Amino acid sequence: MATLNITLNPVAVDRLYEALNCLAKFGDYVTLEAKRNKLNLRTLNQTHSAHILICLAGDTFCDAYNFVPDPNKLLSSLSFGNNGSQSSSARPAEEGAFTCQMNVRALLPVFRGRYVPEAVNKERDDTLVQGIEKCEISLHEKSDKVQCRLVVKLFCRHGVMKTFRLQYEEADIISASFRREWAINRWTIRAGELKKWMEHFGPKTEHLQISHQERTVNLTSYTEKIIDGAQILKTPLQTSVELDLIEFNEFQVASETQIAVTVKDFKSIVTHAGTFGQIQIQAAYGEAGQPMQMTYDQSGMFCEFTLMTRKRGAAGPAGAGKAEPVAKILAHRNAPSAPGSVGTRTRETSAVPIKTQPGSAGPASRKSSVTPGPSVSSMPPPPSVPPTASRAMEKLASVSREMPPPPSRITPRVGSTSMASNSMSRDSPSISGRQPSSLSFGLRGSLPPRPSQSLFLMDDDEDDLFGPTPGGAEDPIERLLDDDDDEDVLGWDASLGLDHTSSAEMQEKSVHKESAAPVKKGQEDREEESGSFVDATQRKNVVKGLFD
Amino acid sequence: MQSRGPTPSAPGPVFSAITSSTRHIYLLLRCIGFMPTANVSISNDNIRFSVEDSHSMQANVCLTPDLFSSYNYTPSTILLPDGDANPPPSSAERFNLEAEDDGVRFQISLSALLECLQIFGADSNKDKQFGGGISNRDGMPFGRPAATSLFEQNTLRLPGTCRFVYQGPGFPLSIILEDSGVTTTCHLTTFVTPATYDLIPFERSSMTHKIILKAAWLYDALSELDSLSPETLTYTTSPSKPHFSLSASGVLSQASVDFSNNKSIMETFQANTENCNRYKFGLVRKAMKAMSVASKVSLRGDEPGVLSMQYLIEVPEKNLAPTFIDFRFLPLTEDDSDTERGSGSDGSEDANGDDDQADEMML
Repeated sequence: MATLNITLNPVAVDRLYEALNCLAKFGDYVTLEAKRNKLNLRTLNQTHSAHILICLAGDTFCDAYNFVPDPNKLLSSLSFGNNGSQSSSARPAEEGAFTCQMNVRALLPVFRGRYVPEAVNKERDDTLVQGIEKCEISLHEKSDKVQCRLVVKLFCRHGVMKTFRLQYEEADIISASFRREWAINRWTIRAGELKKWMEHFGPKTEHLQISHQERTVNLTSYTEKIIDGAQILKTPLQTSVELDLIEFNEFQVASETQIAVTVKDFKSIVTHAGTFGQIQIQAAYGEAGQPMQMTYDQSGMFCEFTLMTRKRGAAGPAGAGKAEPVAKILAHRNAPSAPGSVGTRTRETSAVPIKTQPGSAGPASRKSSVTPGPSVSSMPPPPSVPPTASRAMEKLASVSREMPPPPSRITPRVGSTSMASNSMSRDSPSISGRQPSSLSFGLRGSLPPRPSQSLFLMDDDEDDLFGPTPGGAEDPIERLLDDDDDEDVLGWDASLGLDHTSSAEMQEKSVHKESAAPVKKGQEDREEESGSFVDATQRKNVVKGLFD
Repeated sequence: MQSRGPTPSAPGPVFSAITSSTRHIYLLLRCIGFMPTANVSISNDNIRFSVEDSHSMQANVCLTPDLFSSYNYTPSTILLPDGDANPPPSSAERFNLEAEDDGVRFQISLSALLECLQIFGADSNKDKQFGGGISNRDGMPFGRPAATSLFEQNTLRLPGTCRFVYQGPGFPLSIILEDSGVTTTCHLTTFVTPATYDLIPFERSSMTHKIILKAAWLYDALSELDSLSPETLTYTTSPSKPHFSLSASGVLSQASVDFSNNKSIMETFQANTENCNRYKFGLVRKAMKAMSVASKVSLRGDEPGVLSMQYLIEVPEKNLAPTFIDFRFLPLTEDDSDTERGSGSDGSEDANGDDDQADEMML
């Protein structure tokens, strides 16, 4: 039976609560994975478009951390590994990792409000009920498997002890596949800086576009208009915030790169990062349609968010010429520089929110909507949509029903046979079941087609095939996050066109899928109608990945 | 205004009382405001409001004469309804009357009474608590109300008067609010008390345990368990560790809160034998409002398992003697749910084992 004992101080418990709170915004379940020196918390959201990994380092985050893998499991996996081909990278120590899945709602009240800052005066301390002195988490796994519980003990003041016995269920570990060598675009920014601007993105907007011009980065939240017959299901809404590159500690993004992620996800991440105080958020991504990864870490907690990105939809106000008005506004604004307000460094703040009028395509209305001041407002669409726009709407609405073939991703070396089993749309990576770990190691290089369910299995070790990772694996966070070799990996379709499946076939599938999938998935492909984007950009990527 | 209070304005009321502020009365009654109707019994010593839920829990609030600026109970007018208003009885007489008569009883709508009291400024929005020891408990995430502010509207208000008048069986309970020339009269219909109404018997002779602790700790423990939305509350006292334990299990998890016999929490701890009972959590939860305003709570259990909770609520405004709110709960019997019983006992065994470990660690 695996042994797991963790001791946390109240501050760490508070951190853990914040982390769980963040995970709860993505999914209902959190997967715990205990390894020798760390505890991984993972959540995959319901549409499988976001994966969160929060890693608690055993030595720095926890006051004490002790994990002894189940000897039985360890043995069996070892022998299994030996039967397979030689794989030096198989780490038996990790084989016995204890994994389980829990409802995050059961965990939240356990850790909520446990940290109370030191009492100011004695009297208050006496009457203070809240707050703990120590938290111990231990695993009670019994051989009969009847009373298996994760036990959380909270040692409160005056000898009061609260014990929570939490049920868990078995779980498979799903990792997000993220190819760092594809993520040529990266930037780093202080979390507080980013958080400040997040408030402007209203709860009604769905997507957040990140694009940049020469000196500025443009964050635009928008909702695409959806019309069903005479009814307007979603009204377009758009808010832009521009940040000067000075705000970023690092900014290396290929020109013309525009990606969009879900506002809600992005906000959740930034909100959580904001709880850390001064922390740097690092983002790395490739082109639109490939996953984006945001990472940050502090005092033993490593957070890694992998979000699926999409291109800016071509629908309506968010149409082809979107970049132009922004540029105009910029030119407008740059002359009188906004008053500086940022931080300790004496520099002019360059983040000036811009309001763009949604729903209208005419340049005149765009110009009139410019507000040079720092006030941001999201405006509802004008009551009458210009005829051109509405026509485009209708067209797009119809387009979204028959979705073009989703570019199914194939891991380049996996082979196309498994492609046929892919029925996932692009936004939703398929999850493969747990695989015998020896398989993934043993097959390296030889690449016969795998069993179909492992379509998206991408071991991080594969990165070696593509040369050193640009991010630099010497980073401690990378080291901690990188050892998911034996895990099933969740990926997104990031490569287009290697499939042998005819596009008609795929279209059929995707249409079928579309009926069940949320509407937003369909929107992704609208852009192809507009002609404003280069077709098959993802094909380029694959080329990059394979032959660079 | 006090001078004109005691003189009976209506001919021969059985009961009349005057207070300049209804807020403390409102706050006390609100603690038992979870049921729509309340039984009222008036005696020389107090006016008692009791509510009952599911025939398995009762809550009583006794408003003592201290809480009113004048308090008159003249049961003789029941016997002499047409007679002249008797002068207020002397203290000796009061004692005798008390001895011979248990007081008048009727039933009223408690929700309506609370609403009436709210008119007088005991505003529910200002969800203020009183009770000296707990005024510092802000920052509690479980919804304990914030501390009372010094300059609240109520204390700055010109005092009006509130008169409670009950003329006898068949008459309504009248609440007359006078506030700077405006008089509001509320007549609350009284009902005949059902004959079945009785206090849940608590046998002091076979008391198994008696615990007095700060109410905030009990509140905290129950809020903790409440987050699991459990069905039953398992209540364990024992002379050895854990001395006092509350546990509950929900769908996703099971939780327990253990109190050790620590002087800073428990004023009194007496338990001779190990004692474990289960109560319906939904009923115990109804005492949480009282818990949140009380400063201390006394927990007692008897042999049949009846749990008595007495909350001591301090009224700081007037430097009055503290008021008590009394809750009584009948236990769940063994055969109420056998399966739960089984798992519950497993859990408690676990708890014991854990605690031993914990002791070692704490040593």
